Amino acid sequence: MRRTTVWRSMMLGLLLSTSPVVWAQSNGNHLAIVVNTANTVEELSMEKLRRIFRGEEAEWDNQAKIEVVTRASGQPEQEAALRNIYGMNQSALNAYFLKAAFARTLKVKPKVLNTALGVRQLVAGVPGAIGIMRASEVDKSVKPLRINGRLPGEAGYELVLQ
Amino acid sequence: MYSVIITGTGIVTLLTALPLFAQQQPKSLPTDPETVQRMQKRIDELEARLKGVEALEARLKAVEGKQVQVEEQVAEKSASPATSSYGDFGLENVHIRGFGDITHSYQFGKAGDRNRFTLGEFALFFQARLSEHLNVVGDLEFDADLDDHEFEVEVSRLMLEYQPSRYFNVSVGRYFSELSYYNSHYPHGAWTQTTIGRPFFLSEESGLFPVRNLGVSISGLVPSGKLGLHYFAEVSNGRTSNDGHVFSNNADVFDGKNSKAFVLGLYAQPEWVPGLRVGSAVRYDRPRFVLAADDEEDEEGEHEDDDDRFRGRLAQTIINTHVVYQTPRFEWLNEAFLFLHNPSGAKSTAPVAFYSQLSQQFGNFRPYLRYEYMNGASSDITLRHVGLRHGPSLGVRYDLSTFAALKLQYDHVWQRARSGINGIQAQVAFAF
Repeated sequence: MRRTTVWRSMMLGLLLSTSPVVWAQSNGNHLAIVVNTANTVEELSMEKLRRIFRGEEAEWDNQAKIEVVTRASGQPEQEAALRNIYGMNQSALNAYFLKAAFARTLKVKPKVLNTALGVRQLVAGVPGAIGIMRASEVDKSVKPLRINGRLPGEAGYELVLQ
Repeated sequence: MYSVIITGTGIVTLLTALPLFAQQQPKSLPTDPETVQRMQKRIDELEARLKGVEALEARLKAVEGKQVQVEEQVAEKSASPATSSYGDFGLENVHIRGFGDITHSYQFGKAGDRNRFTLGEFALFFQARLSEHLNVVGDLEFDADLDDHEFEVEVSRLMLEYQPSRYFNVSVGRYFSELSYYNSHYPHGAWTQTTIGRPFFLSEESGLFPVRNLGVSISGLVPSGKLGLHYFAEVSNGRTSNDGHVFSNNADVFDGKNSKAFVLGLYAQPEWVPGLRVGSAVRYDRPRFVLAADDEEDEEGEHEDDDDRFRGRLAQTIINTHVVYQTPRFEWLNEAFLFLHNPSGAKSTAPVAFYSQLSQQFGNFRPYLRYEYMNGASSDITLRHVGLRHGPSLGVRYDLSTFAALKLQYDHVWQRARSGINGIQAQVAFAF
């Protein structure tokens, strides 16, 4: 009796204490687009997001220089970005960037980082930065954007990890 | 996060243990030494467990700290200058890329040289960032001269770009004119193009289109919301013609009569139709031309003596309109040109030219079809040698890897008062 009560209480405690994990799991399948907390932008259309990540947009409306931060090739976040944002595979994307650089249409060359921590640190530290990360990895140091009117975790959010 | 879990578990464990005590306690406080001793023992046990939880939490914090340290190092490494788009502006920000191609062509029904390999252009593309807003861009091009069997080296592009704002960018130097979408988006390098080569009238060999300019170019965004309106303007040396027919390919190096060419253009990339670009541009120039009056060659194949040649100025206005729809897998390029020619002492003409190119990516394959048309009026002093010329090019591009492609193309060209051209070409094009 006593052991059962203790065990149940511990389970309850685990559930309560890990509630952020439970929250995160509900967003865990979403790819968040994050910007610096000082950035006044709250929402982007999918097309605007595509243009930014393809390096076609150089500045935000407040004239801060855009710095695009993506993840390394092969990482789930980058795979999701290729599928949802770029609409091409990594090989085609590499070719696209070279052609765009050659044609002088590439305004911003994306910066590639290996970890969510790196993305968070860079986005938190650079006013014009915009990056990708799992919704579950978003913290208060960065600001997630609404894409086509929806935040990660909301029904109908278009940027899905898998 | 682990620390939160452990702390929570510990607290909850303690909290849940208290009711157990409560359940075990009699209604009155125990006074017998045995019960007090048992309770004291139980408290000691719980305290010991709490210490254990705290120790575990401390260990996990230490591990977490090391993990963060490693991740930071990885992040720092991945943010090295090689992939950085800002930071230091040293030599590590100089990028060099190369383009090359080898083409084999075979023309049906042609006498003589109808089956040959050609080494296309070998281009080196340099890009360097000098400061946050300053870039240098250059192309060094090595071309095989099929007539002289020699290689020519040319600085095909060298420009200093100043990009302080999305509303205003300025470039100075030699650049590919934005008068044509194709010309500015596929400056050279066969690998960058879907097809084997440019439309005929946009090729440097034809000399019909001002491919490059030497001068100043400005461009930027027009505040227009989701319409995505952009402008561009170019001021450059005008062209000249010294070889009797076409404008010299190198005429953009200087203009002997100090006249300047002007380009002004607008295009829209509406946000509500991803991939669409619609635009128009106009170029005005007064190129000097030197043309044999009867446009005939002497017995040695040279044009008549300078004294017999017609000299004059051509007021030339080129109007371009383009509608382009391009996505990663699909492209439909359409450009039309109207050449308004008003030569001194000769009849005014208005030749037209256009092309339409369609392609769709299927895996590594990209089949394509292009139809091009040019009608150089027989009375046009600069385009009569071209005459009416039109026909399709049908081909397929196969991407061998990210930066290498194999292309196979069939061309058929109808020409007025001349035999048509019927041939196939195979090309391997690459970038490195």
